[in-house]
Amino acid sequence: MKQKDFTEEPIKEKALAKTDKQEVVTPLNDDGLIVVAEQAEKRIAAMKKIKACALQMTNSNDWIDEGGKPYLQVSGSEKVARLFGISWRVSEPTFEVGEDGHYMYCYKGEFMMKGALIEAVGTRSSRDAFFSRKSEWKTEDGQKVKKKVDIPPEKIDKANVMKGAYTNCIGNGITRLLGIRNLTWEELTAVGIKAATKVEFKSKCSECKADITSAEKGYSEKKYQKALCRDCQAKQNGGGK
Amino acid sequence: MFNVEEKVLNHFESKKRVFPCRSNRASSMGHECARYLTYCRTRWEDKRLPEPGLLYIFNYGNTIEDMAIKRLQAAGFKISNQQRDFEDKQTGITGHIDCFLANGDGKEYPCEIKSMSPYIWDTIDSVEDMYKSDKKWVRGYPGQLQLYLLLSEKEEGLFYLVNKLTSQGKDIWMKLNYGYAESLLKKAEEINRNVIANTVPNRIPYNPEMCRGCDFEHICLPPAENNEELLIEAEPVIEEALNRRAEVEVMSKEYSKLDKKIKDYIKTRASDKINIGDWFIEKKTTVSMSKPKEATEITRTTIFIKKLTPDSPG
Repeated sequence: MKQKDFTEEPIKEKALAKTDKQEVVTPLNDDGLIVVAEQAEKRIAAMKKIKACALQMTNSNDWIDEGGKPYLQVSGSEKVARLFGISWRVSEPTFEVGEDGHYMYCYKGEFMMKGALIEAVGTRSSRDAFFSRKSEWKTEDGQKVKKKVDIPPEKIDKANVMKGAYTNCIGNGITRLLGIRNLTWEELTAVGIKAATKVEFKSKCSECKADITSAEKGYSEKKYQKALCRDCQAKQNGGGK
Repeated sequence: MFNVEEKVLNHFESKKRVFPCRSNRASSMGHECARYLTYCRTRWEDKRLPEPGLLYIFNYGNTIEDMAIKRLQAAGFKISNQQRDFEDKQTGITGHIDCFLANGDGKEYPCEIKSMSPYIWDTIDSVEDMYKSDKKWVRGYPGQLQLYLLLSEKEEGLFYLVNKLTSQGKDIWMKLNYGYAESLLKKAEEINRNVIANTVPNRIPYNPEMCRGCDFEHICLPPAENNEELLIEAEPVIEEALNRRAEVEVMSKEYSKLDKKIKDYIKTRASDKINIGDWFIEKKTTVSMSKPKEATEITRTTIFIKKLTPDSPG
């Protein structure tokens, strides 16, 4: 089964909008509905089983916490792939360079299991904070402070960005095919899996562009309706340094 | 106060580099994938940078090598030609051997010092164990020493293996195997042909142990073929047995523990007939002779049983 082309979507939406206004008429008789319901139940049970078996194959080192959500790393994805007999083929990557010199790699792969086939992509950009930002100690007002500094694109290792895109593609394909995306930490904790590494996505202050944590962003958006760092929040209150 | 380890880590981060590779390195020629070795020559700049964790390990390995050399010298061995360079112009193989070791008999033996985790160290007592190792880098060690033996025209050499935990050493001797050494030379020639023609050898059949995490996986793009698959069965009788097995598992463990405690105690008593409370215990000692058996191949099947999530179906 090949994944549907996205170009079909607007037509489908149009058709749905039309039927919404009309009386809903089901083409199935009662027996047909029962069969569909039974199949749906079996499908849910099978998905639950697949999820449980997949989780059993992984351990804490295979998962990272990305902004509060569990993310299965490629090490874990490949263990799961072997369990379910998933095969794949990945094509040569595409490479795009932006005006600012930052570049992006994109891999596309086909993932197969029991006759089902889906396509998945994996992309990584040199602009990702993981590659383009690093911590450095700077002296400010006579005090040493740790600051995040930008790494220019020409100093970022292309092979690492490329490898990142490739592993993203593998991970995406496997987890999509099995339907084991969007898990929660509660589901993982139930089988004894805890995140070994935590990756926190930092946001930027909308005024001074300084890095802010998700907690600072959440607080600021609630109180000031925009993402502000602590200094800019103080300025909003009429204070400041 | 300052963070010491952070500075050390930054030091290793700054050392993250891949170097141009213009020759066939003897230390890599035992690698089982000629395509990987060709990429090392032609696409070295696309090789994934080593993780700092690996640089820590390499650094530790170098320290252990220095320590081992001093230890061998202190024990009375003559160490010479440390890091002596080799080059075979015909095949483009280059390398440098850790040292030559002499024991006063007028002979010098090429010696490679390898440090390894206690787990791996315990599993290796012969060169055959290296060939059979489940670690690809260990399987590559014999190839390296074979090439040093061939290029230095020596019949015999040794590995000095150091346990990274206990620092204990062990020597593994290896004779020159012309057949294997010849196959390594042929591999080098195959790589050279591909480098000149700007081609790559065919991929090896997909093998997760070799391909997963390979430094050139993102260029090689090996198509993965996982043919084994999970069999989902509905077998109520076996399922009930599994559930019951889990229920009695705790009791079974307690039984084994108590049984051992009682029997260990009884073995220490002088009498063969003992009464304790409501229990009568008899001890029988038999002596039997076992006949030596010829080594035969034995197939063992190990079964692991794990419980799925508590709320999973079944």
